[in-house]
Amino acid sequence: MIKRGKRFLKKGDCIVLALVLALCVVFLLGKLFLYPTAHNGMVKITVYGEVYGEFSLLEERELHIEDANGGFNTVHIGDGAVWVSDADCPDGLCVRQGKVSRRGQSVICLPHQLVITVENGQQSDVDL
Amino acid sequence: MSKRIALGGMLVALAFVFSYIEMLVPLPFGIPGMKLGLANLVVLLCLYSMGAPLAVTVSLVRVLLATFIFGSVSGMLYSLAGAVLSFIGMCLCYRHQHFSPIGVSVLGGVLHNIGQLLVAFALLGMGGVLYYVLPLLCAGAVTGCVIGVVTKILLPHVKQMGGR
Repeated sequence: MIKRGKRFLKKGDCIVLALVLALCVVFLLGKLFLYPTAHNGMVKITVYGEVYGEFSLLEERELHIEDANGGFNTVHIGDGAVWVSDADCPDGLCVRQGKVSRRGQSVICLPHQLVITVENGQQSDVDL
Repeated sequence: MSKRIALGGMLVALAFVFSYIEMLVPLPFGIPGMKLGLANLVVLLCLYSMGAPLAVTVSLVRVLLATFIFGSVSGMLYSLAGAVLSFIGMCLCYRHQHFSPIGVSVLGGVLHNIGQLLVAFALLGMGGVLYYVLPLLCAGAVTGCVIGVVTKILLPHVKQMGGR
């Protein structure tokens, strides 16, 4: 079992953990301050790096996006949020990522290289 | 020499099976790249008991094998980047007296995720990636801790089995 005589966590371990913790704090703060809810925002969808389209978060919409190999993702926009309701990718993680509504949040389908990002629209205010 | 090859093959098979087990137990957060890191346990044990050259071979062969059998070739870049960056970090630290397997494992786990994020950033752009840094960092650190503790417990027993 673990030897009791020696320290459980050595100095280097603590440095690594502290660094990771610091990074987490930095990104957490950045996330809270930079990503307000974007009620009037726009949804940008890119497929394989190219912009598929930009759509308003305010308009209810259902998009059926297919790629060259026949793979598809069904993207829903409604209630000020966007999500993937159906897809035929092998892991289905995009569907499980749920609804996003804050500016900067995204939903990604890696197998189909589909990226959905919520961006700040013209009319939106910054509110925390 | 042939003993090392045989052990290496066995370790690759073990890491490969761990990769498969990881696929059966998806973590509930739905974030691409978040996983238990079980295969890294094998790499760590190999690194500590048999040295870096065999460990890096086991790691890379495992990634290639798992990609061709389970995954997509487009996903291979992510796994390779994560595995390479992770191994560089672990290799630099594992012999330092100030690092225990726990710290090395955390470093490995976090670097693995950072490597994957860098590839995602290069391919998909900033917008898609930034949101995932935080959960992946946390997951990498936590799983790294757990795997590190397991490594620490197992290491004395593994060294008896014919490592250095």
